[in-house]
Amino acid sequence: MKLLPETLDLITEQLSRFPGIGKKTAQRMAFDLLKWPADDVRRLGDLLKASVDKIGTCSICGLITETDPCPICAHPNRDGSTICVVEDTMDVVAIERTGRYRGKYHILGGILSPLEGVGPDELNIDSFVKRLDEVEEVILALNPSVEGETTALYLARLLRDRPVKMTRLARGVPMGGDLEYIDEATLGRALEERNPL
Amino acid sequence: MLIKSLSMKNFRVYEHAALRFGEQTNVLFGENGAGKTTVLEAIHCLAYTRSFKTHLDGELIRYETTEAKVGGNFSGDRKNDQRVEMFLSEKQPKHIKVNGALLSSQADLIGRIPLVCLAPEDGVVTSGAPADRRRFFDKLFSQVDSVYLQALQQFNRVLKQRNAQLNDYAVNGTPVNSELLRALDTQVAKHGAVVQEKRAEYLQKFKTFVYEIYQELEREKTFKAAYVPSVKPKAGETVEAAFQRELEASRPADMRRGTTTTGIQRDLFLFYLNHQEIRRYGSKGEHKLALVALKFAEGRLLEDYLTEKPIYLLDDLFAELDIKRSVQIIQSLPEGYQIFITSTDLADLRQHGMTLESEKLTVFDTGKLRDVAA
Repeated sequence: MKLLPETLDLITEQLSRFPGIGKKTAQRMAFDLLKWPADDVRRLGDLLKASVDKIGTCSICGLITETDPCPICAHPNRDGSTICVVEDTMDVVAIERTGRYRGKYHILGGILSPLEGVGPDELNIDSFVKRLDEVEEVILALNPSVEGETTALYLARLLRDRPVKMTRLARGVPMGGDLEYIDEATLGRALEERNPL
Repeated sequence: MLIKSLSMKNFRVYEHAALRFGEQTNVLFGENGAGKTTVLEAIHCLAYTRSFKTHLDGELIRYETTEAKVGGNFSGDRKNDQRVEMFLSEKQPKHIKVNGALLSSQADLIGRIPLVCLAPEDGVVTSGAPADRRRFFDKLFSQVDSVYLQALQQFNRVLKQRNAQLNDYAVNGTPVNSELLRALDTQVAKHGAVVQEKRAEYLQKFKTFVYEIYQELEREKTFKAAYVPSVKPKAGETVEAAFQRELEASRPADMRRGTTTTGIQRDLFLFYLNHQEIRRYGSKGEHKLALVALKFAEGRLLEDYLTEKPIYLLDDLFAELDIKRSVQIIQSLPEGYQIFITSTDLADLRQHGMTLESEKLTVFDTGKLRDVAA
């Protein structure tokens, strides 16, 4: 005899697909869902459905959006002569939170990693190159990992004959950081790339 | 650096044990399986997060128990005293505490406790493949220079990426994106050059140490260590530029073979005794003596850069050595260091010229340690 309703098992199975969610946690989530008011569960279901129907990616920059073009590409006051290249939408959220950037973005949708089968064709690189005609500066805001570096170098090679200025995020001492506890590689880089006072 | 005391709970054969060590030579004797080497393993764990015998932590937990604990009190020549504890469990990942505070990354332990360990397993350093010698030096140089470690890790990562692309071509015929390959080459060259330059620099120093130490052990012969990098810069060329040039030149071959054929992963470290390569021509005794010299040179390099005296763990030191050579080693053991030696019986040590009645010596009968409650 099967103890639990099959629907519950199926929900558990789907929930356990999330990163960081194991079978046990998924089951607890599924059980908790049963305690929710019916309307709330229906609302969640509707939202999930809407996510498929309404949310897509911006045809210009690749940002996850409900409108196409996305609010940033469509904004009249965003400076189109500067493009900031990032790995995914989460990075845009982080940069937007700083309130220091008024240009536009381009989302690669990943990072070059032949080990994981991600080559240039798997990323939004063609659409990026097509945007470059009116662009003066490209800012590479990629993670300082081996793969981030590979992607940056690849893009730099791709753009080397174009009259576009390429910059990348500075690396160094974090705000509120204590020099004593910063790793040697970061501190070494901060020394090399020091600024005039 | 000294380890003043050690406690073990459910660690290998020990249910409970607590030991106080002498500041100079400590001798652990006992029959086979009595737990001599286990004491060394426990100390090794506190310096390197793992045993030198196995990388499977589960093997360290005592039979039919599920959790083990090792703790040690260290006192530094310059650094403050510290207490290091390691917790092993079958149910959760191992964790390490320093002075009661949990380490967020176990790698943070490396370099805190300078320690040199000589075990029978180290025989491969002189007799094994080139990769065994690279591993010996990589481990050593990483401890004295975190930039070396970082460059090496990044090199290994980017080399894997490059090889993945080459392999995909060689095996599946997937066309190689040459711009991507060049982007990878730039990084292989950058990190590889850092490692190569530092290997050359540190080996220069190591070479002098090991030459001097070997002279003390065996005056009639000369020991030479050499570093032969795979990438060879031409006159006036930087290592990084040479790397780029060689990567480019070997590209067709690399694509055919699906792997990178030039770079620090192909570097050679060679050891010579009177101009003959030990790996090929050394006798068993010569291998062992060379290994002892290499280990003491390792200690000298660690002390030089970390400005702390290392602790020496010498497991089965006299195996494969004749009396004459053993006596020589005993006489040239570095003075003023904490040294741990294992032996199956004391008569054996006496025979090897060890004065057991010295106040510099602390002797443990490991067969009797097991019942001592912590």
